[in-house]
Amino acid sequence: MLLVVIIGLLCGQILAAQTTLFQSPTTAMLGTPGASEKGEWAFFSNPAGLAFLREPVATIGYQNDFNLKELSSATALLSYPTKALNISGGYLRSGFEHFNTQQLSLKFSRIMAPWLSLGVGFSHSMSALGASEQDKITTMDAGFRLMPNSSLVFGFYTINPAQTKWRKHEYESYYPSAVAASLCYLPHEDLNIEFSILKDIDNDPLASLKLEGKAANAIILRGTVSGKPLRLGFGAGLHLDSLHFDMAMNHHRALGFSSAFGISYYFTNLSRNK
Amino acid sequence: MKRLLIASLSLLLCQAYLYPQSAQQDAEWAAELIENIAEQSELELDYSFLIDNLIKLRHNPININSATREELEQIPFLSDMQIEALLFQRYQSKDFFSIYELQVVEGLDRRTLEYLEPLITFDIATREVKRSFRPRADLFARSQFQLQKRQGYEKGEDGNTYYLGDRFKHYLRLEIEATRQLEMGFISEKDQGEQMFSGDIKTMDYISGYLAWKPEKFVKQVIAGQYRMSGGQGLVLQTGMAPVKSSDAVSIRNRQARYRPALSAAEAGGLSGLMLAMGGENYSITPFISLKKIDGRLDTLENNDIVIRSLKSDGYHRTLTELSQRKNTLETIYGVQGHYTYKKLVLETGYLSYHLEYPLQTDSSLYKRNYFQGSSNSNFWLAAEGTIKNVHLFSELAFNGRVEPALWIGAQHSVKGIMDLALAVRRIGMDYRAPLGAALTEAAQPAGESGFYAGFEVPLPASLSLSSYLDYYRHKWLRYRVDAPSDGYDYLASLTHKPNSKWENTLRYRHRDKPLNISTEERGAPVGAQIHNQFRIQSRYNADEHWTFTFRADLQKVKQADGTKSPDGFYIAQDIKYSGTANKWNVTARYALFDTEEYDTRVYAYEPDVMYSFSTPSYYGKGSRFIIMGKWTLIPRLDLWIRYASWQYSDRDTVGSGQAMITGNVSSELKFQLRKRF
Repeated sequence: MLLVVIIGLLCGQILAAQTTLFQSPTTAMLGTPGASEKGEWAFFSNPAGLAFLREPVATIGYQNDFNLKELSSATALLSYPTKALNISGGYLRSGFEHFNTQQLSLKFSRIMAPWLSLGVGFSHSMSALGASEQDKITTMDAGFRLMPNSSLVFGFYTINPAQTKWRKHEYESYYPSAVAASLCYLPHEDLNIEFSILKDIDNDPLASLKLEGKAANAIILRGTVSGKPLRLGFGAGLHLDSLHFDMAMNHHRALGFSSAFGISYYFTNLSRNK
Repeated sequence: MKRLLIASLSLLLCQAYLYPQSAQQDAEWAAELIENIAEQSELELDYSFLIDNLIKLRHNPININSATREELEQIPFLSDMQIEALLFQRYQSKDFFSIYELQVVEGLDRRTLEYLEPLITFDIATREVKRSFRPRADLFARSQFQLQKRQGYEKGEDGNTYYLGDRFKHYLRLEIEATRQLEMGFISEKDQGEQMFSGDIKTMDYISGYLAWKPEKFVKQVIAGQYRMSGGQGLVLQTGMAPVKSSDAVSIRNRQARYRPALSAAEAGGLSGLMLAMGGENYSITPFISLKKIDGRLDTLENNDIVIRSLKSDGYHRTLTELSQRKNTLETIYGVQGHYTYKKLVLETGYLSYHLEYPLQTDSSLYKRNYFQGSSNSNFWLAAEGTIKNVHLFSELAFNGRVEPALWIGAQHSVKGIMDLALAVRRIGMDYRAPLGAALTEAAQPAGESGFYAGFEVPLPASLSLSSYLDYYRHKWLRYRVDAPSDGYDYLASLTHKPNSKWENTLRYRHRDKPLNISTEERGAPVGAQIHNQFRIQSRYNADEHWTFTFRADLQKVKQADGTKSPDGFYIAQDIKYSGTANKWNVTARYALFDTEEYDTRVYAYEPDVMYSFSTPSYYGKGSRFIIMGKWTLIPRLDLWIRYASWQYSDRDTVGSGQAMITGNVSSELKFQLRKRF
């Protein structure tokens, strides 16, 4: 417990910039808010990105800060596209036995036009400190994703715009309320460059530049630089037909490495494209 | 006249006139266009007369083959250079036959032509616009309500409330164009907390209007009631909208009409009385008089003389103190303005006399030494403008008694039709005073100011364009929080990327080097420079006829005069607008997040609002702003607007101060507006 508090104090800025309980291997763990992200991991950034899933997808993920199991999270997601909407649900658990948060989320997204998708999500979080203290909170997030032309994507989302806060023993305590925007340029179908900005209401903004490209037929490489504080992130993906593996890690010069890993299974036989 | 009045009122009641669909959308089209202009400015201005101008132009289009420069100047989105190029092209190529021919005019881009099309005709045969006239009337009724109760509405120990009225704000506006020659308007307003039809206010707090007759013969126009006037470059007379420094860097010339009827809810400023414009094709003489009861903070001296300590311009009459200051001073303004046009030269002269019922005696602060004091003031001005080759020159020399006069000279030039340039110098005498003056200056009270302005606009490759200005100024005397003569400068660069008509991106940088006392505590402290660096990125995407997305992010960096750095100010906002089929309804939403801990790093942003309501609030503190507004055409010619706007702060438990304080961190407001066209 003491160790967690010390780490929290040491890496205050990093933790403050963290606006989700799970840092996905394609966005947050790399140090980017991923507002233009699409696919299953958009569950933890811009819900509008989930609209592009054309088949049911089951995902599990694990994330760890500074090799401390006390600062780790695990998640399981299921995304199901219907004719009208993409419906995604997820569960995550963050922390350890004596201090943890569990979250249940439901997200809805839809492609409105070939250049526009919208998404909205609701999360119910339960925090526990020991056996005595428990708290619950329900928040909302929403976003959109635009494609002004075939080589540009603009994404915007907001997390907890109502500024809902934890209430522990009558006292309010911080829960992130933030906006994020990304502009992604695709000079080639296998390469994209994304500039993003994330502003949490109570913390300095975080700007990031991400480069993502296909290194081989099924291998994707990702690199990010973000600040302040300066962080370098590296990630890779192995995307086989139905099975996707994604991982990412970043480095803090004082606290060391953090990493995330995820596996997704695409039920291609149930694709809506068929 | 009586018959005309009866005729117009009958029209108002019978509703027999049906406008085509396009005409029904006139005002909305005009409002949207003005919003684009208003976004460039950080000042909270009343743009309603610009909307009125555009609506009137759309109803009575200008013949492009005979329009004068003055007529073209009433189109707000046409720059001086575009007007000059248009007149030059017309002189060279004779008449225009269609909008397509205007594409050859230098500087008229596709978007400008789209805006221009409904405002012009190409009637070559008669050179007069022969468009059938339809009488029209436009009625607006608006109410707004603060959802949280302010301290001033709570009952005190004596059972009374500090604010005497209720929490509603009401607004009513009616404009009637009865014939081609006759127009009238009526406006009334009651602010939140003010009484209405009770107590000391027997009607609504503010009532105004005008009756304008435009025979267009020797007598050009007669206006009784509220009107606005403008002369020269505004050194003496500018009751309209003064030119301001903006990213439209070459538009620095005063282009306000010399006179026009007005229907503004701004309780201070403006003229109210009688104005008569007469003259011929090349000249005009306009005598005018304004008699108004205005608000002042009065004080009685030991010898029982009454003086005004300050003039009150906020228009609030909510409390006993504010009511005691309501309309307690007579303001008398009279003068005459004349102009003469010879070929490309326009000469103007005027005289203005300003009187207050009681002498104005502000406090003895040294920096106020050059402010207008006393009960009367007289100004005289000479102005000229004209074009020599490709250079347009404009100037004004203004006098105030025998003191050093004020001078404002500007020039605009288009370099080979590619790059537009603007230069201006100003020098205002130390003791120069003009209570109705509002020229392009750094200080609102510009006595003792001299300055130099240079601006340009240039198109660049890859759908880019750059506009920039530099304004350097010096003050010979002390100013508020500046205890020594000082100088400073203001620089702005705006890079616009417009790859197509649907998408526009702007990157803006502004640097200000403002003189300021190093210490606010110590009197006579040395003067340093407060340095502002402002960065803005804005992107607007009109995807199709339904969707419009606007994203904006601002960063404000301030270094104080003593060298300390203020925490940076941030503002990020996203607007989404969706218009329904046939434009019968639309919804606009904004979510903004701001983090500006210090007042110096605050950010101004123009907000979506109902028609004829304009707001550019400062985002100060930490929190978020949410606005949702819907407009619905209930039945033909009847529109309803509903707007909900909320501030939610994360750094405070109360909003506002004193009697305006709200307990809690949320301040929200609901607004309804109905518009009926007849």
